[in-house]
Amino acid sequence: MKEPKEFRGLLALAKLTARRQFWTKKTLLAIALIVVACLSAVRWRALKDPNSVRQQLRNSRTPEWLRQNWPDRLITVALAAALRVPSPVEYVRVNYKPNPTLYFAEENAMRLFVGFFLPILCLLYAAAALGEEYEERTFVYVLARPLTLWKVYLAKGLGIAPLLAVATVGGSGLLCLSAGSAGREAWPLFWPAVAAGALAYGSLFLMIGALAPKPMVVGVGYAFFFEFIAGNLPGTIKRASISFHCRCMMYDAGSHLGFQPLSARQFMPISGELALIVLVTMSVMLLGFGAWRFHRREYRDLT
Amino acid sequence: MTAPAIPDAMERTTAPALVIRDLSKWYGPVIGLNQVNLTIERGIVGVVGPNGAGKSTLLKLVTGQLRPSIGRVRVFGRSVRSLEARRDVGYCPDVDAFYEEMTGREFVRAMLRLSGFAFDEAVARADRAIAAVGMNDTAVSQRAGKRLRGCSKGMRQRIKLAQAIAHEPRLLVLDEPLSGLDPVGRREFADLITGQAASGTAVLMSSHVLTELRALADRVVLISEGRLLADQRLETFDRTIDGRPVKVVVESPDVRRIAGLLAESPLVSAVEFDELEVTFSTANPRALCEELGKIVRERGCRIERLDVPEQWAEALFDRADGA
Repeated sequence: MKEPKEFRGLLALAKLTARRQFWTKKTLLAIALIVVACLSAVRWRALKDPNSVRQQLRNSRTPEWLRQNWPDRLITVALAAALRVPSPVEYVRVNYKPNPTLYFAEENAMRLFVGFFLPILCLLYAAAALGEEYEERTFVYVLARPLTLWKVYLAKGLGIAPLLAVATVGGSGLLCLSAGSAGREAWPLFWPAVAAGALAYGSLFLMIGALAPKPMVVGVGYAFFFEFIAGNLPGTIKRASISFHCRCMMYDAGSHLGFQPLSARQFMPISGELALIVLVTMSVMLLGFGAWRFHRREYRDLT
Repeated sequence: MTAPAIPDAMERTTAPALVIRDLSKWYGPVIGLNQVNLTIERGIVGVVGPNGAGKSTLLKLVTGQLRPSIGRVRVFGRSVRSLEARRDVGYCPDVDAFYEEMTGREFVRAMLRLSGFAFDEAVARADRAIAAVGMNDTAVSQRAGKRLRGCSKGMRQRIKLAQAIAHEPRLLVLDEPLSGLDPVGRREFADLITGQAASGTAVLMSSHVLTELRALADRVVLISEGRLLADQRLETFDRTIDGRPVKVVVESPDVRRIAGLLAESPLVSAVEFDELEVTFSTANPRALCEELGKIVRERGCRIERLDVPEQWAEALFDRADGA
């Protein structure tokens, strides 16, 4: 008979977590979100891809700067006018991205996937890994096993890691495939930022799931108020957001193609390497802090 | 170094199953448990007390889920927070929660895997535990293969017990194991617990119903407001309450007739009644209940409710509080 081993128990916990998290309605929701992202990429390919037949027909009838940006940049033009940028038309012309790869990378990959789908996909699995066990009151069985609590926390993180990787990196791959040649070219710029972002979001939402009473609500609140609003504000506050660092990684990876923020003065980007270091450090610190707090916490209200 | 292994092994085999010393637990300003001392060598020890008395707090401290504010808990000579001690403890919680999508067998197997057993070993042990709780016989062969969300309360209780005993712990901690079971289920479950104790496992079980523990426990620990009021063998408790009058309440449309028929009985020391119910004071409630049954059969009286309040518990609490 093989003696029971803690390490074996932790691996079993990670496997059990992955299995239980996968076979839930959350996976259907994650698939639905990825399908929506892919459909938006297909729509972009049909309507906005500068290489599409529709765009080429339009190009032959409209002025150069307007036909590439219509109707997307009208808001930018209006904003530029409101902010008293000397010449809105010139402003848009300077920032116009004639390369369809960059157009896709900014419009779909960055704004849509990194800005919206990535935190939501991470939240679905990471916040539920421990939060669901509390809510269903099944955590009492894990507590009664001969497992060290901080290792339980890390095992839970390990359990959701493959799900997060498939949902985020795999989902972004499907998004790029759906966008045709522009998407395929954007993929190298895109996936490292998604992977690093998924690691950071996963660590954050795992901690929220372990320590906050209503992890989904807290997680959605964080994603909306901090990542979406504060992450897009001018100034340095956005540097505390995960999405900012993901965007910096993307801009850096595409810099040789001329990929850059609309206004570098307002966006204040950092280098891709630094952004990666920040995201990895943030992830390690969040995992460490979460494991420490989780280990010291008492679970009084489970029974 | 092999030298320390010998005393350690000796301590494991000779140390009491559970030693609790000066154990206190505070939840902020609220005292959950206050200076409790308890030693369990073997057999079944019942923890009884009203709701909120501190029974669950004690059991959670014993299973290492909570940390003591003061005092210590040792299982077979080791701190209960150590992994070695927790391997020796099997815990059956009172909460009716499971991984509902699993079958009973899968659940027990998963718990064994979490305890660190290899797959083959977990499969074999799970099968043994399922058989031990009576879910493997031919009449109910599909039970352990049924999804837990579709299982009855009795089956779920059995699975909970199976996961607690599957790793063959030497100390079994059961939190309200009989609650929610029908009388037949209670009897079967009680037999399972007695069987575990007979095989040498020390059992600590809680209940707020003393009559449940009467049939099972060798010793009863009485807890109220976080304090341990009494720790005695059952016979001692029985002597304490012998001869105390017990109130039997009968609700019936024939209140006056029943009161009249039994008023002169030597079993009854006092009678009170109103339009809906009659209350008899008696030192022998069992004989009185038999007498009531006879009246129903022979005189055609109807009884809508028969209630024998748990005077046994009250007597114990009165005595312990007065001590």
